Amino acid sequence: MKKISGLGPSVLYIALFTVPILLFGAMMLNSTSPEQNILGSWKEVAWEYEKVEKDNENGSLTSKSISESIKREIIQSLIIHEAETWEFLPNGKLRLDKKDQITTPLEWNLKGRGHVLKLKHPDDKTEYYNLQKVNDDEMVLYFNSDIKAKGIVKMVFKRVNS
Amino acid sequence: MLRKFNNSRTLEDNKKLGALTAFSAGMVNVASVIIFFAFTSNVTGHFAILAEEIAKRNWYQAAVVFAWIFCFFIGNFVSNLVVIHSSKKRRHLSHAIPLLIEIGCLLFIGFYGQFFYKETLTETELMVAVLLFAMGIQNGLTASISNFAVKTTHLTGLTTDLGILLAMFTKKSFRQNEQLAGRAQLLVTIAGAYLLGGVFAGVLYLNIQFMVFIVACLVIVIIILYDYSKIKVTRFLRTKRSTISRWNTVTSES
Repeated sequence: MKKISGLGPSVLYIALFTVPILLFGAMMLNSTSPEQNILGSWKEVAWEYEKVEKDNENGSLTSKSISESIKREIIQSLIIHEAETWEFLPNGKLRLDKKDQITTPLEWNLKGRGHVLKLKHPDDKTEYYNLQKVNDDEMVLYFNSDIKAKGIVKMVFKRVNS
Repeated sequence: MLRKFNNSRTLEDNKKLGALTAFSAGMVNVASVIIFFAFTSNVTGHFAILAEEIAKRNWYQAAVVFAWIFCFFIGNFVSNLVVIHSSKKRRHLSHAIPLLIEIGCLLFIGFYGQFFYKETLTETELMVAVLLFAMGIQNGLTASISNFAVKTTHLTGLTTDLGILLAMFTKKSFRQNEQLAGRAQLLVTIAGAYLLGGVFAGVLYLNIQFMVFIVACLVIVIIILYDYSKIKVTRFLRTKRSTISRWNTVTSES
């Protein structure tokens, strides 16, 4: 403590402001913005319920994976429809492709600290997804679904090398 | 509301200041959650998120949240720097300067958001930083001039204090303590105003979008103008009183 008080207040105040700025700079230099990371093509590889519901009859856990029929039912209420590949373009457009069938591009933005993905349809319908993870290989999105089972749906994507 | 300092403040002064600043803080916080998906009037949650992002090694997000917390800290620092180093004779002005900076920040967010915002992540992060700085300024000012009695954006502490007070009021001796009763009134006023401001902003945002920040600004302007008008009235009364007493002296002498 004696040593610290001996430095004088001006040194301490300079440190008070420079240390956080340097720390911020170091963290920024060693990372990539999720806005950059998300760019490119992503292929859907899994749909799961993140929250597993208890089966009322026998008390066992139901499967985490979502069947094709339930998935289709959930998708019907969303603007993402049945896409297989999601291509995030740098101009804020998102192309949803399914078997050579290209749909109308959506608009995408990231909100918060880059943890919320906003998708906007040309007819102004908007949806929000929680961007849980995005790196060079994998992207994980969450969204709340009220269909069949109330819970959080987890969508896993793998990057498509173009 | 702004002129009096520390112990010279009355409960009514604190209630007025607390209610108006909490109302604007509630507005700003709810509007920023709706628009930016980030809280801007409190940093408790941001500390938890910072820890989470560091644990996950999400350095970009950690840096952003760290910068946001730092902006709130700087806001508190700046407002008190102005108050502490200002002249005692011009207290109203020195207390108004932080609020003028806050008004500048809110005006910037309102107009930039309404006319130029392209919804890029960098813009969002910077705007949240500006709002946290503005809320830091407001919180720092109200806390210091009220001798830490009014914390308009710090609802965790407020709820804690209220819980403690209500537990104390189960005893008659505490219920009859005017100071404690006044403190409880102040806390309820602040909490109510914050909630009301939040609801008001939520409803208003649907109609006027980013202009909601301009409305929050107007609430701060009311605080400054109220105090300014009080100063004018006090000065006017003082001048009138001294003129009358001088006139009385002259007439009695003659």
